[in-house]
Amino acid sequence: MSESSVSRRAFMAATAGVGGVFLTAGWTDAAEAAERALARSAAGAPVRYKALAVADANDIIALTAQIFPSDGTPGAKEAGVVHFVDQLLAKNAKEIKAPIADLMAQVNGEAAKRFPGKGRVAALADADQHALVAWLEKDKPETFGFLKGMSVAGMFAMPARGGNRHKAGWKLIGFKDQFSWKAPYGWYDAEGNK
Amino acid sequence: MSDRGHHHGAAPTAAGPKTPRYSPKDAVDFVVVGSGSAGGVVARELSRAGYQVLVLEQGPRLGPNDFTHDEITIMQENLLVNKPDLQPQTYRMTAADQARPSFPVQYGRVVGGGSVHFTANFWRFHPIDFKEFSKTGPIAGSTFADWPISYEDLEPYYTKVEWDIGVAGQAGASPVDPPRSKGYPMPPHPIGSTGTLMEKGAKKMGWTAFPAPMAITSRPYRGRSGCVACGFCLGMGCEVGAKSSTLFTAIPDAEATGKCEIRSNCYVRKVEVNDKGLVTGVIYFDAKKREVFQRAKAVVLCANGAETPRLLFNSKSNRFPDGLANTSGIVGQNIMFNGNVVAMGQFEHEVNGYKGVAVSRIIHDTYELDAAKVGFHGGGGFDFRQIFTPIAFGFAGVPPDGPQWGSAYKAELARAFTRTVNSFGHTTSLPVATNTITLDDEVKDAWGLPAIRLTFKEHANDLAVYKWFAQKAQDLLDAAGATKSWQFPTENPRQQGGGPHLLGTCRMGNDPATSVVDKNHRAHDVPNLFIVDGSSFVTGGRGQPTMTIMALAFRAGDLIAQAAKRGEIPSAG
Repeated sequence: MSESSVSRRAFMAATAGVGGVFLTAGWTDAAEAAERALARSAAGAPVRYKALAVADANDIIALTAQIFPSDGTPGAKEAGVVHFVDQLLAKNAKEIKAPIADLMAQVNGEAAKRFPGKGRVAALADADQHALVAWLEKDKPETFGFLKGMSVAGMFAMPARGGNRHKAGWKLIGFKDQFSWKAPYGWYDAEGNK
Repeated sequence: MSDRGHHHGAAPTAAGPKTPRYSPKDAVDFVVVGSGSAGGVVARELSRAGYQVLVLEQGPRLGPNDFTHDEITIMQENLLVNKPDLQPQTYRMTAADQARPSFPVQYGRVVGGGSVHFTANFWRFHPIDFKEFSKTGPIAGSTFADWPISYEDLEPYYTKVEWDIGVAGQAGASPVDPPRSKGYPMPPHPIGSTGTLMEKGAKKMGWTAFPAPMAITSRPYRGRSGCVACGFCLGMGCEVGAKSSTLFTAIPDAEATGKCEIRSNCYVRKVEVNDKGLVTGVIYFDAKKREVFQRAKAVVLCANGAETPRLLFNSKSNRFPDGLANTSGIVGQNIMFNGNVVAMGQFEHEVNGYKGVAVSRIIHDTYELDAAKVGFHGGGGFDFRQIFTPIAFGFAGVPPDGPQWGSAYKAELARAFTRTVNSFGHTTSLPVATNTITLDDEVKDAWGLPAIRLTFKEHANDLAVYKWFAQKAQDLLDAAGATKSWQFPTENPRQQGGGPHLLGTCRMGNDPATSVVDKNHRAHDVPNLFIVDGSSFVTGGRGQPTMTIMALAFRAGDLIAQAAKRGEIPSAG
């Protein structure tokens, strides 16, 4: 194991079950498209997606919000993670379509069993959605890894890739998007320099 | 071999000599395969000695404008490194196992090679690294041996790396600093909180944390910018040219001679030899996958510790049925990846390890451990850093026993990103004959060439080393005041080995029966073939090989040029 393989392995950790393909795509206008979609949403117009079916998009919003809930600070919903996924699918349908379809089929299949008559994942109560993600984590680890991978990447990737809207993910963890720094960098070296 | 080969390019201009374009039909003095830490330096030294040099690099030529902090471009789309879709690999633990698709071997696939994306830890080897066998004696299951050269042989070239390539550091700061003829050309980088914490931990452990030697400019140096401390060194290309990659140092120096052509997107598939056993040139695929035969008076392989043996195997012929330069049968054997173990710790206050160069302090008190006390052979060093960029931190930054999704997970990420430190142990790893790079029997790359197959199982001694260092890495964090600490596993029962440190597969030595190249990097079997890269290593040092790869390349370039001037390199004519 090498230092770069540690980082790379961490990066790939959630994608192993789908061949590590979930992030590969071209990204020219992803952020702009996401912004347009969000503006439409804010204006009360139905959100248009480039590639996702609306029903799938709504389920993805619900599921990624379980990974990063809106709980006082911006979560996956506010960060626009679904738009990251949408751009991904639009640019790389060949590799991303099947894992998304698997995710949809598995969670909605389980939802139909557990909560008959209540509709798709997006229509369920928060506690029921939580139960479905917990089931994925336990019984479908590869699919859970894919969901978490999409959520993490959509939360923290450069906004140009469609998610991390207004740098919501970076602000959450305290990562400052600045190209140049001067020491002291943190509390300990600042104290040491006193 | 001509002395001072004839000039092939356009005449020098006021702006400097024009880069030559060598014709494939004309035998250039030297074809260098690979443009990384070894190839870039060899090209510099040979072209500055007056020889025609053509460097063939399989990857593209990129520059600061192409580099980015985008984790997806770098880590997922593999902008700077080899790509699994183009060049698949396989892995098996032992020769009795069925190899399965995997991707254990990583290397730079761009002009500048791995030096474009390296972290830039530039530790010299110590004298013990070259003569451990003599001191320790044989170790069962290992092809442990001394190097045919000593630290003293290499010392002038370490100094050359530090001054000609550019390394920042503080001479004599290490309690076990090896002898040096000159200090560093640049002062160390500022200590970050990771360094401050390491100093605290080291003091409690009875060790000394000292300024890390880093191949990154700490002030403007030789026409390059000083580091701006953006913090995105590991895995990324430097957007200001402060990282001392050969892309920014040796290669421009080579091109400034007017004797060196860097030909990118050229993937060498075979080294050709004539019926006298002399190299005549190389066959490569150009960017459009057209085959080109480039004639050469001599060839220097600097393709890295995995691609160099692969190329030798792919260059088999009637004269060399087991692979070129492989009458010993040991090409591809003894691959070492270095031990590299990681503990993680969280601290009360902000560390912000994402700012500044990755490493500002290291510990070398454990460089050579007493086997009688610890129960194994080996040693190594430590550093503190925060290696996880935001996406990677989301995957692996939080404790494995804590929440992995939901509000608690989110809160943990929010609290911990700025307060987390990785404690690395970089260690010895033993050469083992059955740990090999060979050709896969079935899997082919996008050019139809047999894929790399890694066969690798950790030596039991090394597992003991890793376990010891992982615990001490965690102890250091605790001694520094970590509020929580944990370790990454040191052994994967399903797949072992892998990484970008590719060492030992064409080892140097005096005996042609047990080594591939002599102490001057000339192939024992082929007098106009040289091999200079991580494959030349006999033992693996302590986990930071690039400084030594560059020093070997400076020395090899010097010796090859001297041999050429003396007319001691025969060519096919």
